[in-house]
Amino acid sequence: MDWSVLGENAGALAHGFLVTLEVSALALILALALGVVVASLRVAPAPALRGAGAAYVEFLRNIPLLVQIFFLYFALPSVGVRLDAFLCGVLALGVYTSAFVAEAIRGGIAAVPRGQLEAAVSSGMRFATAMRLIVLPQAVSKTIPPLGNTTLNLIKNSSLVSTIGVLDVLGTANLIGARSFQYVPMFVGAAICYLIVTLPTALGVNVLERRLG
Amino acid sequence: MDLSWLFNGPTLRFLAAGLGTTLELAAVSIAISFAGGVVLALARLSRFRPLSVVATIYIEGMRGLPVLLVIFFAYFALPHMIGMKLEPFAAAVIALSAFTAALVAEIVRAGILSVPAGLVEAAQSQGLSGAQIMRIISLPIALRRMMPALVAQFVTLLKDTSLTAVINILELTRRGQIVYSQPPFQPMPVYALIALIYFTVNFGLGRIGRRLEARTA
Repeated sequence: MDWSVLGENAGALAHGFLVTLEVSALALILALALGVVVASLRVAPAPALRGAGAAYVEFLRNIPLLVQIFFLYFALPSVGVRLDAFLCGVLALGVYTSAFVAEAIRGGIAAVPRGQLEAAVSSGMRFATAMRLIVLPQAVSKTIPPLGNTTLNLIKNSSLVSTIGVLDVLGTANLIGARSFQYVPMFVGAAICYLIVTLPTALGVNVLERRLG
Repeated sequence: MDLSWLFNGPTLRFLAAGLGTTLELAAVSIAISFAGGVVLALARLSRFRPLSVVATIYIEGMRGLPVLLVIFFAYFALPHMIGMKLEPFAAAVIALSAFTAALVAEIVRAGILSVPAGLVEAAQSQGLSGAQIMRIISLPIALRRMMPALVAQFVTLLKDTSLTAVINILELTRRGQIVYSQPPFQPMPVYALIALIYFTVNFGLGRIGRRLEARTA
């Protein structure tokens, strides 16, 4: 084992780390935006909308993310839609994660007693207004811990973009490992990069869970 | 659209064998990670400090890593460390089990901690030893409470088995790639079929989990 390979390739690894953070950040924005929309479908008064929301969540949650990434990258070009690997990664990761975001938000809304919404509506408030002023503010505290966990999983899942050739931190470690046959130091380096982000995030989620729970 | 290249006996049997490998990989890894998870949880709860510190570091460290990195590590790096070649299937089982055991450990620990203190105290007052209380009182109650979370974790594990396609395990996803890399080179119907198979299996598992939840809640 030759650990000097880690020092020689620190720049490449750092660049890969930035790509990991970039993919994660963009996918998170997409996941939050889509997740809010789908969660509102899930609690909508119209059964058809609730059904559509449920179908979206169940469909995405039960199919491996890798299959969804491969679908965008390998299958879409056969119908003339060609996206570059980075974009495929961000889209697949964002859409997949949005199902978990939607469930986290729905769980938070469900934790607010139904009577409060009914009381607000019966005293003349519109559904959307009651949601915004009564239910959502209370739901937020119930939603933040599971959203933190979802974000953690998203950061870890971003490593799957390396399977379609994006040089994120795992892809970079794998590439240099293959070239130099020094897999152990390179993967340890990549692991440290992930832990730098995931350990503090997990700690933060724990603290929030205890404080809000 | 003519799909006879996909929906014929040999091709479907080829894919079914892949589903078999996927389920086998998941089942073996579930068994190992469950046993490992219980041991890790007990170690973390142990009053013997060094043991609980080591278990905590393992659990928290593993939970912070992507499972794909663990799979790559087991396949490419581990053989260098132990100085012997690993079959891809063995590397896949090691990686999936080592990773999932850390997550199972946290579920088990939460389950044990949720057992009412009064039950444990009552058992203590009757003269049961710590190990007896764990085996007869805490673990059985905890197990029932954590079933829903365990089932959810095992659905995740089943999805994670798809990642072993990248180390060339001939499970469902990898076999799908092999099918569309031959004429007529059409990935779309293959991915649609594979997605449907994963969906059916995982949705079914999730349903069972929810039924358990309703029964134990």
